[in-house]
Amino acid sequence: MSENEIDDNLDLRGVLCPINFVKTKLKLEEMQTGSILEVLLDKGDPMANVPRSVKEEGHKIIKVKKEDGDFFRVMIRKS
Amino acid sequence: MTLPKTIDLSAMKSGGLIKQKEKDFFAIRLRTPVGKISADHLNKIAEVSKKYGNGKLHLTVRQGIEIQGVTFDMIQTVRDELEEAGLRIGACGPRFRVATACPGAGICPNGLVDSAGLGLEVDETFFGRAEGLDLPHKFKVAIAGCTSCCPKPQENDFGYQGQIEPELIEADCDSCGVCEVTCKEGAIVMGENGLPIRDESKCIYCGDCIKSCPTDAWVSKRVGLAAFIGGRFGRHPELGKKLADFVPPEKALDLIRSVLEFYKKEGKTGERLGVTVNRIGLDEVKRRVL
Repeated sequence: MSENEIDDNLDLRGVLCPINFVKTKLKLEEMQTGSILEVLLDKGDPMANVPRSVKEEGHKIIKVKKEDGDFFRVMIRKS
Repeated sequence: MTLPKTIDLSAMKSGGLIKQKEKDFFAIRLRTPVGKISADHLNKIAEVSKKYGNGKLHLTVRQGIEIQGVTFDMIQTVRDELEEAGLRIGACGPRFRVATACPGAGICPNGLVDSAGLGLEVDETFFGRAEGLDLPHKFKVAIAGCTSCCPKPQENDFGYQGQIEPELIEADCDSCGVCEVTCKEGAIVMGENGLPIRDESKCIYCGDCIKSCPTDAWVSKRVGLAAFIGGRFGRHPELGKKLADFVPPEKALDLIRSVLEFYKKEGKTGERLGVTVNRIGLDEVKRRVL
């Protein structure tokens, strides 16, 4: 997936649970259905919790990529 | 002091009345299984406390409530008034105590089983001396909905903990690796073919892989209850031992009944179940109760 397809992004590295999820949720609420949000999440609790909560809210996680420096690039399609 | 005529001594024997240090004062322990209580009941308790007690309540470590400062002659009145509102008195002494549990799957995002629902069933079935129980000592049960074990099932004479066995639908996996970083036990590593490999010996059946999987490739193979036996706190604390894995929830009451029968037969008076289990040996206990 190219960078161009991302409609918005959030760098949530260093942001603790559940603030990282709340920020993701609020951002998704502003976005159009079908658009794509990219979030950067630390490994550990953020990666264990945020994708799961996003999934429970009904959105679709379309891509997860591990990056150097112990963080992940997660792409979410708003439902 | 003369006993009021209305007091039912046999009802007193069911427990839940705790003598206070001050002469003639009692604390009344309520039966609030799994710590779940309605706002209306809380209002009623507050009302009774102000009317017959000293306006002070104690929240117990077992999710209970005690109304303090009730004089001996008012116990029956308090009991009647509470019962009229649908509130019941708890237990003390060598009885099956009020069951504790976390809110469980209905409320908690981590919950794997309906621990609160099961706790209510357990309480309804065994509380006090139900089913003719005449136990050697107190018997406490706690039920946790997941592997976090918030209600501490291993610190109880008998405990259940929800567990879930994951299974991978390979076709649905897109090799993102979230499960590998999510698994706190290091039980999942990404294999050379891009698919996760689960090490059964490290897996504690928490279900984090299932919950975190973006593509729902990890699914539930089965949900059940891990059973712990013989835990206690007090003077000589000891954690409960694993009795069984994946007890089907519909068999949960049967296993408790089986353990109670064993304890009733083998436990010496004043002996907690853990001591009985240590004396007889876990393997023999398993043979007898499972």
